Amino acid sequence: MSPLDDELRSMFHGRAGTLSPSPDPLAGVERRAGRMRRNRAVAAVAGTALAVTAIALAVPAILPSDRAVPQVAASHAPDDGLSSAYALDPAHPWTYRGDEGVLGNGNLATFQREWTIRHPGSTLHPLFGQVYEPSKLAELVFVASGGEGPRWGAVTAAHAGPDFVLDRPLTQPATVLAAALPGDEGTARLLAVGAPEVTEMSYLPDGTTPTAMTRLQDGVYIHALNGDQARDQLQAFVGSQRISSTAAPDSQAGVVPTPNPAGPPGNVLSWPTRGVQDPQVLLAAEEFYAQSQSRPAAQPEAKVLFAGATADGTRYLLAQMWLPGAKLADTVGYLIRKDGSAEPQLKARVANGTAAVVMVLSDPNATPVKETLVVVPQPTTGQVEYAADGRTFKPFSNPGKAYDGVTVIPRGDQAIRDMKDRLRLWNGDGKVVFVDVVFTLLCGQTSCG
Amino acid sequence: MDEQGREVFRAYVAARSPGLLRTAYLLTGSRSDAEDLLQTALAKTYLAWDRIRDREALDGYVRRIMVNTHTSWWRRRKVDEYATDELPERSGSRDATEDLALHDALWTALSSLPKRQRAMVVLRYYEDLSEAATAQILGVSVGTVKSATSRALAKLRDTSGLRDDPRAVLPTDGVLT
Repeated sequence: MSPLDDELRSMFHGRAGTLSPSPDPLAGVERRAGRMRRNRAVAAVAGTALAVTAIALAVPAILPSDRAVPQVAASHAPDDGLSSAYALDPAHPWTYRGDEGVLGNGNLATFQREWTIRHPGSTLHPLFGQVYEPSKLAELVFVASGGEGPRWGAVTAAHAGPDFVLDRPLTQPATVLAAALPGDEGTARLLAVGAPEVTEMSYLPDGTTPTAMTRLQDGVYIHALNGDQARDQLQAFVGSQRISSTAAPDSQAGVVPTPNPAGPPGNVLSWPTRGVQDPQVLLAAEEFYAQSQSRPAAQPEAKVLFAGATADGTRYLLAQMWLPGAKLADTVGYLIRKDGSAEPQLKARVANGTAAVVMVLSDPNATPVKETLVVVPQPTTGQVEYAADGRTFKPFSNPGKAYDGVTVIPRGDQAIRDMKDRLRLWNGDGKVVFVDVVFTLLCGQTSCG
Repeated sequence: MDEQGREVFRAYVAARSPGLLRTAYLLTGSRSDAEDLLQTALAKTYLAWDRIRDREALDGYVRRIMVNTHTSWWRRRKVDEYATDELPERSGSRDATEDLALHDALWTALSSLPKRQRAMVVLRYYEDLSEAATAQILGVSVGTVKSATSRALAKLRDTSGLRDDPRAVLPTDGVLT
């Protein structure tokens, strides 16, 4: 535990300790609950309340009889399967609708990366994106396939990184994905995404009285989630055909946490441990990792990917580490120089299927600066090539038998300065399995380069 | 909610509202906002009471509503929120010890954090929740909690001037590559 941790705890308890309890919190709570119940009946979305309500009142008079008086019970089944013709197939998802800009600026890649860490082997397919005007934050509804099975959810590009506000298994057949998202003024939003063919959606706050939802895009509708949460319903129509009738989502529903799998975290690589292990380096690395997780007394588990030493006496290792029960393993590099100085590296997590894990050995006292790349590739990798200028690749071979595919590459001044150097990996069949700038492999958990 | 449920709810509020109020205070930074936030969260809990099956997990449920509600209040309240260079006045006599000055600086620096980062710091260092529990309440991955908390601590260090305080050494989580 660091002194800052102590100071924060001490400050929090000092501040909070001076707070006297409210005299009668219950009375205020019950009054507010009653007010909220009443407000939910009249709240609406983004200034369109009057228009939407007017449409809603008119709807029963002009709809076919089965729509004027919905026959749906107040069921909370995920979907009553009125029609699967418009159901979502995760392998061939609906076309993306909404703001293309939501997918730009690296957002989609960031969402995908974080999603893969949460659900190894799963691929995210965007369905609808928008910038939510009040918060100015991009939000995306998606379906995902692969991994442990189809899932769907919603993610926001929050200040603190991607925020998966919904993460749920996909119950099939699913004709409408209904997400309860944080809204303005404390009222949740019901964002419903259906097939592009959907022509209308209704929200039934009391389970019986339909209110037309506001169309955002073909098949995408929104409404304030302001009904009786024990009874409210959502219906979707294609023309006059009702294709879906389902309970509206709980306004407080959020991420369904994925249970921790038994055994090692899912992203622990199945690669063999290579090199020659040094117990002292491993112990120091484990101590560092436990401290970095604010659990200095914990005993981390480790999968060493490679351990070695340089000619000048620097001993190092590259490993995946995790605390018991953790869902994901972190990537840790650790080196101890000849003079006894140590350098820990908490690197970006890797997913299964990664082509290589790379660490840098640096000598802070050398002039000019001297760096060495230690490239630990997949065991099936054939040739490792490196281009200091980013263009001219040269093959590098293993320094010795114990390295077993691990390649050590000196990084020159210009490469360190320009950061354009690239790595290319070939498999045994002569196919390139990885080519990218080295920079991308040197990311830590909070920064790159 | 039937009468029996109402009694259980009342007992819960009586027992837990002082503690939850303290958390709300650390999330909002003001007594009045904290009372408002807690009342809103408990009212939402009241409305959802019949559908909450796991009463053992009530604290987590209420905390989650508090954090989400507080985050969604940004528009209504944003004009009230700003970082200030001046330390807030403390009630009672001023004690010029270093600890109090440090805590004041930390408290002020806390107000400069985005709400979700502030929530992460409060949940981790006041509620002493694990990263996994914090992630569950906030609906984010453990990795996001780690990285965002790390950034929050770094910002606290920078904006409170703790960099120069020899006692305030950050946990090592930076990347040296």
